[in-house]
Amino acid sequence: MTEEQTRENGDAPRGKEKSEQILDAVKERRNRQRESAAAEEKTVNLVVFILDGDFYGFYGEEIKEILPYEPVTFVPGCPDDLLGIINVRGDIESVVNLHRMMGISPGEPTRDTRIVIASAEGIRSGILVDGVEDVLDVPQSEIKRPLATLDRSIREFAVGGETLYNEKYVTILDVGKIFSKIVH
Amino acid sequence: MQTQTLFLLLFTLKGIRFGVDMEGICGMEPLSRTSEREIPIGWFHEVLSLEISRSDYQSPMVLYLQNAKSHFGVIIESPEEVNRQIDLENIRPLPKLMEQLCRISPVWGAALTSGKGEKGIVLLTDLFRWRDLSLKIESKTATVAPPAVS
Repeated sequence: MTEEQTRENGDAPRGKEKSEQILDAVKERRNRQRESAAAEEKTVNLVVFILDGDFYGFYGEEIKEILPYEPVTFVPGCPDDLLGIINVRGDIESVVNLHRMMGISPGEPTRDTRIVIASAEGIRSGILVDGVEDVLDVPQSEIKRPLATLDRSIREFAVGGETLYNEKYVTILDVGKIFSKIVH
Repeated sequence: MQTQTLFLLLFTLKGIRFGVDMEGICGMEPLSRTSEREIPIGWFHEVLSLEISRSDYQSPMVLYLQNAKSHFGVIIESPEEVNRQIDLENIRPLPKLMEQLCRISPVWGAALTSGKGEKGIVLLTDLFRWRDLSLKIESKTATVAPPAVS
């Protein structure tokens, strides 16, 4: 019995027809294109925060929680880049003085002031910031090299990326580099 | 048997609460009544580089400590509590970023306190380490008559 005869009898064809083969190939190609586009559109999670009116960012994967400001207990003799310690639900965390590290004059704490708990290089610590603006996903393609005019003391901690948020530059900082500078 | 509790003498300087293990303390008296003794006495804040002056103490007391190696006095602010019991489960090491500090500092940890009208951190301070540090930095803890307090 020929294939034509089989179809006339209402039976399913034994092999795929040419049209089906073409459609399969087209679907496969489209899937590949979608996967490729998705790879191109890989995003990074950023915690955008404020220091002295400027926007900065930490990679979201390095940020464990964002706490409202609370008074920091100064520990005599601790490195100048640390403000002291706080009690976070029974755990003692240090608090980094990022203003000092980046040569920014610290202001008085306000209702917007936050302590960001970060973890990198096996070290966990709080970092005092003037406010947390947003937590967002940014396409990796939108992260550009930092401005050549970026201050040297800030560049020291920059990951090597900058992006735009509300038409302002966000300099992405490396938590690991910040902690390393204090340890060494 | 392992110690399960620590008994502390608590005092506050510049808004910071310090806790000293009662073990090793052999006496205490107001600085104004301190008679001239042949033991070294030093101001607590001067070894710890706390930015305060002697006149900031409201009611200075001399705490006398003794062990097999040394006998000395430390001038502290008047204690707010003596023999405060702290369970070991409320004691924490200093955070990792301060580990280097822990090796040289008399401050070796923190105790979490919560009680009537208080909730906070007490810095645990080893006064024998304080004494070692004071000798290292050649502070003014040489044998001196305590300064007169009006």
